[in-house]
Amino acid sequence: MASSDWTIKPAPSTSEVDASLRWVVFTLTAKSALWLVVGSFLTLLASVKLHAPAMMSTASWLTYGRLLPAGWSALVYGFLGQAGVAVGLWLLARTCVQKLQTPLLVVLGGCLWNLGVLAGVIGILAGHSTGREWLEMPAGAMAVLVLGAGVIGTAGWVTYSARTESSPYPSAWFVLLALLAFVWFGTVALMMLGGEGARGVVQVLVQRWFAEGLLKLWLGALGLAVILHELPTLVNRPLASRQLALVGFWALVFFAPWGATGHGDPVPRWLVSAGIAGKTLATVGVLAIGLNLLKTLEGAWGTLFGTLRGRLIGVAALSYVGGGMLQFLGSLRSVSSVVGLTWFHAGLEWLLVGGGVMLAVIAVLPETFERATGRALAPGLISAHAWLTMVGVILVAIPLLLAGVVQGSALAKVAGTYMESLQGSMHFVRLSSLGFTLFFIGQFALLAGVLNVGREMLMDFVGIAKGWAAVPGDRKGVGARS
Amino acid sequence: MGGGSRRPERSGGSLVNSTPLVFLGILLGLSASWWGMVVAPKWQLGTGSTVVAKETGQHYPSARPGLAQQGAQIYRSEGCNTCHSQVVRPEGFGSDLGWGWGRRRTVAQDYLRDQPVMLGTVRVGPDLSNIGSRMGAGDTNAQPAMVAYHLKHLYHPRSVMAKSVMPAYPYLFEKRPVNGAPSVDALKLEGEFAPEAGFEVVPRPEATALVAYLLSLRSSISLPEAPVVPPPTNGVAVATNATANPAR
Ligand code: HEC
Repeated sequence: MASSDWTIKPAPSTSEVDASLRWVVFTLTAKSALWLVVGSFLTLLASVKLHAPAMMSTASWLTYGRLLPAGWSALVYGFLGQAGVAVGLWLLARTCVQKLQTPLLVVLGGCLWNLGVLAGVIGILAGHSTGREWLEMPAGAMAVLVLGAGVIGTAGWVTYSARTESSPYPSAWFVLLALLAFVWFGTVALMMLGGEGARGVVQVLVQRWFAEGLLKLWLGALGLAVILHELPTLVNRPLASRQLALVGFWALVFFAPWGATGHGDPVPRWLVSAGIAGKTLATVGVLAIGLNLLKTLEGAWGTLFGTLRGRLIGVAALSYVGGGMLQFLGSLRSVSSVVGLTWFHAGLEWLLVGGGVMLAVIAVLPETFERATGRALAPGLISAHAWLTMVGVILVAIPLLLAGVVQGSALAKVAGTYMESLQGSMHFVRLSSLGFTLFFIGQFALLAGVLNVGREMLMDFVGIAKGWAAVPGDRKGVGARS
Repeated sequence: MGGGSRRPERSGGSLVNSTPLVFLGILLGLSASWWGMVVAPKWQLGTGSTVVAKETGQHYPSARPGLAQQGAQIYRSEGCNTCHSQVVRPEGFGSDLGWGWGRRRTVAQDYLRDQPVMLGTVRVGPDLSNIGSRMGAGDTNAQPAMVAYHLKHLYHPRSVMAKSVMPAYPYLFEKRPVNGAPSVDALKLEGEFAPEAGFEVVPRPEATALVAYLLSLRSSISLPEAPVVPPPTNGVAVATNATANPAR
């Protein structure tokens, strides 16, 4: 293919690459910041409702069972699906040393995406959840998301094929994977679950395969693209091993979504074995990534944790690798008999998505934004956002994980009433409300920063328009043509 | 920014140089798990059909009555599955049987007719796989009491279970002025949960359907792949979480 013949193309300058993402990054970030506020508000409400289950119970859309999936969807699809992709496309363009191709199409795809998220979140709150975890948004909304992702993903892949760097930095593979994975998992899940396509537990297998795929190969891949890029840069060293990164990459691509089944599931035995084997092999991938980061970082932990951005990346890397290990541990027979079907599951999701992906994305988002739009987010707001989000996410994930262990241990011995067995874990669940609160407050900082820049841009635009209006009529045509 | 890592060494990447090859490689990897986790099980399980249960001589699982099917959609729409599982794990794996959540583990056959299947991921509340047979099993006289219990519980869980963290669902009910004689459907609510004098609380069709669904949840017929486990002999069989349950 001629397009892989990168050598004949002149490489664009870094600032040209950045500028090609101007509107893509601005629109995606602005909309994602809004969803972040919405999503963190809904999840906070859900969490508070566990303290006061009868509070605000007359409105159906405020019930726990709707707030939780709606909030999670807003965070995952509304925030990460846009901010993560904005950051990912920037890294892709930078590592491929090529301007983002068809940026207007990406902006359009982003609009479609938002339409989908809006319909999805409202749909869940209105009672049209599908009842399938990670796929709760009504099928129509999901289809619009897939369409939007298809448009955006195509632009990403076209950019890669037009690259001027022959073998881009590994982050590029992870971004490409993420762009393709969403379309793949989304399309297949929609097709297989539509109508009466899948019967019985096959529905659960499709749903879990989808969720695991999105967690590891969409969100996880975006998080890793950032971590693999930022961590070496922050300590000013090259990545320890490109080969090891390749091993991790392919192990994840091939094996991560196999982790859809585990001990105790109501499925044939061979499927449980396949699930365990898949989880084990995917863990090899996580280990390869972890080892690579560890070797890169050797002796430079202090440098990494010396800056706020480094702390975010450091905590994100620890969450990703630690979460991967915990997930493997949690799938072992003796452990899963205790922590299976408890809060542990929710804690793990927060550790992987909130810690591993979200913190990584917000670490580079300010730079991406500044490079692409030429305008900086206020530093005070950035650090407030970073701190509140980081502490918030930790205070959600750790208490929920502990709640799971306490709850599982209490349930393991059949004693007293069910409510009594629940008491110990509820303390930790309530502690997580503190985390949700900090997390929610923090998100206003990002929104304020983005709105500020938006206002600046508007003022500039108004200034230009005014200047133009002030020019005598007969010279306008000249000005417009030149 | 822009340290050495952005323009890395060029070794080791030759395999991933051609765009179509990378695309196909990733797609191949992604489809591997699809074949294994989705397509193969669909071949094996998707063709499953009802079996004739030895105990009853009837086809299992039977279709839920129409009202219960509507109730399943309320269960989905309200997100009851965010707090309740519908899966009983095997003997010796967790204490699901010990809590009396079932007489045996649940297996693929049990879910054959459900659309959607809502296994759940986090148990904030007890498992509901067998909530229809756990309370006053087989006792047809207990049926009205069970319906009344579930309705009261849904209207305000703390009216039957102190310190419950389950949400109240008053919007599935209607509070209306008593018009002449009180309705036979009116909930028997006491104390702080009772409506003002002259008012009564009656279930809306959604609540009635939801309870019909709950009562249809029974996965305890003995199956060849999942025989019923004899009840525990130490006498601590816990029929239900509900201490105030009249059907107990
Ligand atoms: C916030 C989590 C939560 C949600 C959402 C929730 N429940 Fe519950 N549920 C609980 C808890 C905790 C209990 C145990 C205490 C009690 O009996 O109230 C429970 C108990 C029950 C019981 C009694 C089980 C037994 O063994 O006695 C039933 C039946 C039930 N819930 C049905 C539902 C239905 C139907 C919905 C959806 C409309 C629902 N629950 C939504 C948490 C929840």
